[in-house]
Amino acid sequence: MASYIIRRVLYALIMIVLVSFVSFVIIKLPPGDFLTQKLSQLRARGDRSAEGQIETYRVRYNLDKPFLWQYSHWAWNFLHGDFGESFEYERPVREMLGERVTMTIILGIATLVVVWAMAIPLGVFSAVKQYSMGDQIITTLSFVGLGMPGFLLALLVLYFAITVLDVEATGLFSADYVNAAWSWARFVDLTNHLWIPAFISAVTGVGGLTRIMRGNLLDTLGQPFVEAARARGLKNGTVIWKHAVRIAINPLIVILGSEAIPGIIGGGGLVSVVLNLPTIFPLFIDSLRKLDMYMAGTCIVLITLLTLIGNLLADLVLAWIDPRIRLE
Amino acid sequence: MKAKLSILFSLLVVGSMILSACGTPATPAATEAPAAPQATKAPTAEPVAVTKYNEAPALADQVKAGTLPPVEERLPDQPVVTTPLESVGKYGGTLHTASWWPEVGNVQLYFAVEAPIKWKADLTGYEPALVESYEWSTDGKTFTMHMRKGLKWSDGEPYTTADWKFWWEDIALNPDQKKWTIPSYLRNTDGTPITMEFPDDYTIVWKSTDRALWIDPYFMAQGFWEFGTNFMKPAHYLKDYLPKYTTTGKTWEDYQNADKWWQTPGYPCLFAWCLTELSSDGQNYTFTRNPYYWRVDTEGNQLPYIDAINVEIVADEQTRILNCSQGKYDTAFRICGGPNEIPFLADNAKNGGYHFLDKYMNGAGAWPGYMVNQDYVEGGKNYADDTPEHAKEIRDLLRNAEFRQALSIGFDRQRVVDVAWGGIADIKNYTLSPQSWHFAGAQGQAVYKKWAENYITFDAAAANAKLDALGMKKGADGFRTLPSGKPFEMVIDITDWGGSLKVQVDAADEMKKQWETNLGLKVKINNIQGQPDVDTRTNEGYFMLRGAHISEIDILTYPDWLFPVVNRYYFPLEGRWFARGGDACTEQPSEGKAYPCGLKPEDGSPAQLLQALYNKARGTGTEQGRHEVVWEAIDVHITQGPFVIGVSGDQPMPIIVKDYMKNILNFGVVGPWAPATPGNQIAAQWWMDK
Repeated sequence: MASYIIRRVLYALIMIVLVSFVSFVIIKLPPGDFLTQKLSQLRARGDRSAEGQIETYRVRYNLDKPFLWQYSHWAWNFLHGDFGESFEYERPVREMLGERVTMTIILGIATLVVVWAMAIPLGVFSAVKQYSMGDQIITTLSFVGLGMPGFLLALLVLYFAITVLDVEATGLFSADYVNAAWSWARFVDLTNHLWIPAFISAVTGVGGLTRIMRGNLLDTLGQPFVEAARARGLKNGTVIWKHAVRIAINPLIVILGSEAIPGIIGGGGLVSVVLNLPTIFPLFIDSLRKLDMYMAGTCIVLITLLTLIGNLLADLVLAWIDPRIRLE
Repeated sequence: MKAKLSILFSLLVVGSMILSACGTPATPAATEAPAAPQATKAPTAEPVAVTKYNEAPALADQVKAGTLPPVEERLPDQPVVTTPLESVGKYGGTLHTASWWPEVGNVQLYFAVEAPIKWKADLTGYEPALVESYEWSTDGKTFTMHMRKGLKWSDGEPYTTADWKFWWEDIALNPDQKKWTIPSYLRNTDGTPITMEFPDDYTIVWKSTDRALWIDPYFMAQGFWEFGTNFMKPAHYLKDYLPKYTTTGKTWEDYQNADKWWQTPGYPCLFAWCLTELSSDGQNYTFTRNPYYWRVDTEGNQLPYIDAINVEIVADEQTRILNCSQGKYDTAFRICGGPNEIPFLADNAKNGGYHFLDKYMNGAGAWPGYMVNQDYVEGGKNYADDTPEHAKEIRDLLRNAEFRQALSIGFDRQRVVDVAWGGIADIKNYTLSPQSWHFAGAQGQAVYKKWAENYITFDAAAANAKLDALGMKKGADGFRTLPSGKPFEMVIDITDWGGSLKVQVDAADEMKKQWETNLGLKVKINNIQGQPDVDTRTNEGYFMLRGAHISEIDILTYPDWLFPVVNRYYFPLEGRWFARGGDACTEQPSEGKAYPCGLKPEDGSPAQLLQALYNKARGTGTEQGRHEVVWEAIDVHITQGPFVIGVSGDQPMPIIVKDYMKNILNFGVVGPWAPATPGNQIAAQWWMDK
């Protein structure tokens, strides 16, 4: 067990180095850099001191150095907790991402809880009442949810929330609480905003899981041990929840590691941009557009890291829940 | 099993609760609950001659507590009395608005524009703001400013020539740093800096050895960047960061980090509001009232009325537009998209509790307009055979007025306006902003009209006749060739210039269709939005045509659109030649920069005429005289142009404010940034009636 975990961690480290290097190469591919863009902005508005400023920045951000030097310099500092400076914001990346990483994790977990709390009961209901009206409705909605891109749904929900409900729909806090310290009122304010992203993720995430849960449970319900349980005269609820579901749920945990966590961490990107959520994605996408190298590199490493940790945890949970699985 | 699942679930829940509890507050400083708007009794009526001063309740409390001197001591010896637009206001409230980039420049334009000289509210010229008065010597070579006595920084330190001296001697003239270099308007003709003298605590004298400084002081009024970013240096505060004055090993990088008044909480400023908080992720700014601000209203109430301005960064434009439609922002200048957004925002105005400032125009002289590169050279890889000879033939064509006139009359402007703008735009050829001060008065209006209506009547037959006369025969594919018979494809570069990529794409598609069918010219649209070489293609002279947005109020402080004196726009290389000192430039060509000294204008060419007129304008001592030189230059554009194929312009802009906002002037031009609207008015008099 311990050696398994160590091995996984080692793989993860190699993966992170590879991912960060490749992403640096990609960011460097187009001609020009952040400063050529900045220069054109400054010039466009008529800033007469633009040319002088740009050279200062070039030296400050080491953009005059060769690529490998830039990468290794950044990677070495990264190991020491210095993630570099955002070109655009002229602030340390670490400072900017601090609370956003927390928010990303909170949002991810909230999504996970909502998705699972909905998908499992719906899937079970669908399987037990196969081909009933309820099953048909759930199936139809599942396919809609599966097929609808999250950002599109986000736009629709925003429009609905604004024009019909007349509620504030973007961000995670009201204007009054954005800067406030954590308090009960701020927490309530957060939950008032959190439902929209959670709902969007739920609609897009629940569909697939419901279908999988339904299929697995249908398979399991046909198995002899279920027949045997019924023959022993157990109540229907006990047969389904205690005997069938606990077997049928295993693939869901596999999916948790292999698809759900990366999906939630990576797939929420555009939704976060549309809803202007304080997660790392709006900064990440903006940094890619602006060629803000160190910010983008740090975001990629963090996203990879979160995904790998999620994978590992899911594998461990699976081994813990299903005694048949051995980790070696 | 059930137990395990429920443990798993509770772990998730507990985990998320712990995480939310661990989340550090965005700003440690913000521990108290946000204060409710502290509206109090309307200030009592007093005689207009202001003798007694009032202040905001929050400041009065601080005075009572002994942490702040009384208002009489905080104001300068002669506070500036500002007559409110509608009414004397009530103190209180936080104004919420947004920006899309860390400099929050669109919000800086509200109030960080009170330089020594600022724009007049109606944009017809300039007036003193931070200084009491200014004057020129008769030859114009000496310019003197008299500062307001007793005016103080927001931390109570006096604002004197010591601060200017610090900026000039320790920053601008310091060879160790390059960020705050001396701009060209503070240099002599030979490139050396002018001299700056400080005879006493309140007098600043600029002296040039070899040229008149008639125009140059007005640069301080442009945008938010010229004064606020470059000149406003609180010496007492910044000395602690300057390597020269510290022994703690501070570097220039430390200094650069500190010397950003809009990002450094506690940085003393001279504006109505100064930065007090910036969230650690850089997404939320709070500018709080400056207790030492130097304006009072007619009843002696110290301005500003509004306690604080809060800015959130929302990078995505569509999200901002939705927020606008919901009435989330108290004032929204430049953040709710462009003219095409007006119908949507109008639909939601009642629900959102806001209204439009309908006299806010874009100021577009052309939107879109297609710059025709007069200095086209090889290197842009617009075709396989990219040689200097091939480029010269195309350059000769683009420099031919007949060719450009054919382009200008060879399409139906109304159709382009219908396609790109849904009909909301005036049909016109390119000009400066219609609201430009050069066009004020009957004479100016006549010049404007003549220019705007030049070569805009659609006449395909006349256009084709001009092209035939140039020897551009049609080839096998039905498209016109170059006079030499080589195939010709006219490349149009487009970006989101003006603020909307969609408008530029839609308009360019329609232009392609019309020029191809009407004139038989083959057109290629080159969408280079977001490409890092956008600037290179323009400034190195690689583009043929480029979709642009033209707007400018004062063409003498931003000469680029009329005079080829900088490395930009449609005379990129002849402009570079002028900017690099003409024949004095000796830089050798290098990789990617084939013409480091630009191109010398040929004798009698429009570029040469316009450069001479620019020098003439700079040496002209009266406003009227300078306007007349500008008209002369416009005449060159009319008779030898067009240099830009203007399609349409003068669109209105969706500027919205909440219904409870008071004293907001309904006039501004938001396309060009140099006129600094809404900072043309005094934002310190805005107040919230709620």
